[in-house]
Amino acid sequence: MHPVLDSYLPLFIYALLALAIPASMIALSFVLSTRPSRRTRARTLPFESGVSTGPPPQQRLSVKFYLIAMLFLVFDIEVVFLYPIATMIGDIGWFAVAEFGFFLAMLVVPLVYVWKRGALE
Amino acid sequence: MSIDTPAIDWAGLSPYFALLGGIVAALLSSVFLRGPARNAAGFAIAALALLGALAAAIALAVVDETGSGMIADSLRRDRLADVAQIVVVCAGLLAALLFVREPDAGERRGDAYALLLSAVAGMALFVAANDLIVLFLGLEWFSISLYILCAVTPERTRSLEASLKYLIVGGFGSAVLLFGAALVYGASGKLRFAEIGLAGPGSDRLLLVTGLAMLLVGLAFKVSAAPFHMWTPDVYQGAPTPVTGFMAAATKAAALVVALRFLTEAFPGEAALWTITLAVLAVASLAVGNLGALVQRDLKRLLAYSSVSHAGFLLMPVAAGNALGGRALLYYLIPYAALSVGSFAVVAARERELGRAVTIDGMTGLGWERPVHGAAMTTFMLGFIGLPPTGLFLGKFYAFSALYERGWTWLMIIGAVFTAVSVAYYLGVVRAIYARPVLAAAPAGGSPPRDTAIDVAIVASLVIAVGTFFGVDPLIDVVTRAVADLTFPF
Amino acid sequence: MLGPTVAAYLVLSAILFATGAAGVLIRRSPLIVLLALELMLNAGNLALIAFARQHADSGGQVFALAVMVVAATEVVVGLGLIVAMSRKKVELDVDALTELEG
Repeated sequence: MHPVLDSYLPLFIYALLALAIPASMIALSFVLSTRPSRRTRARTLPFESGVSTGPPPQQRLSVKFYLIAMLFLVFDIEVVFLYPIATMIGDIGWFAVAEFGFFLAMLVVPLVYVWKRGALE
Repeated sequence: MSIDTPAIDWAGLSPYFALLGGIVAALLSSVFLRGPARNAAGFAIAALALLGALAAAIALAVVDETGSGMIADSLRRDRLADVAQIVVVCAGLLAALLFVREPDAGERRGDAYALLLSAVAGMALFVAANDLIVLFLGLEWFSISLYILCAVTPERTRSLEASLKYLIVGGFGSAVLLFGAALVYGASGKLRFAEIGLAGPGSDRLLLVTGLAMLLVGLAFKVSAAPFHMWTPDVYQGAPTPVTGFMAAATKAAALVVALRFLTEAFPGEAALWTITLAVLAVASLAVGNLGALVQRDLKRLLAYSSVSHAGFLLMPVAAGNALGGRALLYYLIPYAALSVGSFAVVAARERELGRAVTIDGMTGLGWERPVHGAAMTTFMLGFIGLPPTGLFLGKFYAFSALYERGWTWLMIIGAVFTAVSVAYYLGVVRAIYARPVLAAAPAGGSPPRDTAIDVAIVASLVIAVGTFFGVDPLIDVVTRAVADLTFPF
Repeated sequence: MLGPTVAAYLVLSAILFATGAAGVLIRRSPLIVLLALELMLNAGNLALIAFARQHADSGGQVFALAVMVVAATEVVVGLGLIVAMSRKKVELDVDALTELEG
């Protein structure tokens, strides 16, 4: 047999099996369960490993949760600017370090603001 | 490898530091102070910071004989930026006056001042942008401030709605602009405007032109030029009126000045293309704005459509692409900003008096009840038409002259036709103002106390609008020097 | 150059951008619209970084960093507005935001 085909043969068999198994499952379930005489509601629902389909029960998350999440997001992303500085810390002058101190000081102002507004309680 | 410290021009940055200090102080004062002291402190801080920035910008405009770069050339310190900053800061000052008694703002007034300062600072950065990064950062800085500012009265549902709409449409515009910037960067390999201009189209002109088109679309969203204006009426109507006044005046001024600098410096080689594109946008804006305004009953919506139509008038001198056009644009912006803030100030005052949204009928009898407001609004409306004695008369004249010099008589004629159309709705407002009052117009519970701050804002806008007419010679001198550094393609 | 060419990255970013733009224009849930906006901005970022590598220039990467922060800020503002609206029980459907007629 041609070497290239030879090396692809296991893959081909594997693909056939991979197709055959789900196809047989669908076919069997169609034959066994969805004949009109037995078509009850539970049988027509798609099988999702025991997780009931349909809308999940209403769970209310506290608005505070969203607030904290958003605050985290907006402060977290500022760290993006700290990574480049960390990798270059040996090459930059004191001026750049001072500049970053200023940047961080500017970040403290909104932190104080949200703290005093009570968003972190 | 060591990284050099960029040359930093501290004097040139002084307006930003004034505004930044103001933002910090306003934010902290709004959480550390209580009761009436908070509102008083908020206004005082905003006024001080804006006056400081104004003084700094004026001082820079006096000393800046020639332009220079700031912070590794990413910002430009020249008279064009200085004059634009003066316009934006003045609009901010007038808007701050309107906030003093904004009833819906409640205890968030301190935050509103911080956001207003932030929007002004973003615009000040935007107009000085000398590369694509600062262009995008400045644009987003003031845009995001404005989105929040629209929602600063969260008890009003329509204010939140307006804010979300503005954010979605504005964010769309910004994203288009960003993608355009990326394409231009890809075609030229440069981020600085002047270097993009020098690099030329390189091997891939299609990339550069697509990028230019997307950048223009992004800016057109901010200028609210048709067909990218659809957010304007809703947002102008839904936002708190002081915010609307500021947006109408300052956003347009900032975005047009940036467009002027950016197009002349980065795309001299594509001038034929962008001038005709802007001319098409101008015609579309004139048509949509003027025809749309004809059918409006709500005064804020009418002024919104009027603002779209003026986007058209303001794009005409830029489209002309000559030095006269640059001067015309910069001169036009000064009385236009005053007229915008002033007319929305009158609407804000009337709104508080009536306790509901102001329709054209709601203006009935204003001229008899509040003669100063009525006279001011009449002047503003006549000014928008382009009649003396406001500077817009001369602004339109200069804009038409620039088109004549370019040889685009057809655009002049279209502009003149739509000016004639605009007479109908502007005069409709004036007629309502001087109609005999219907007694039922007075609200239950009596009028609110006289608001000195709003009166000051209205009179100041009136003085600026008329002053630009009588002080045209020194102003033309100023704007001529402001655009002297730019190289115009035609 | 190793890996895919700049053209491939450009095509991918254009597809992402178009997907995002279609999402903003078609989808009705404001949350999905915000997602689509992020997609548009990040398509721009991808193009910037690809071009930065093509030109061997760090400017595009710096730009992309700045855009990331701006995009996060913008989406946080949008989420804040949506939370404020859901607190007030406004129907969260951009087509239903019709109190402003138009």
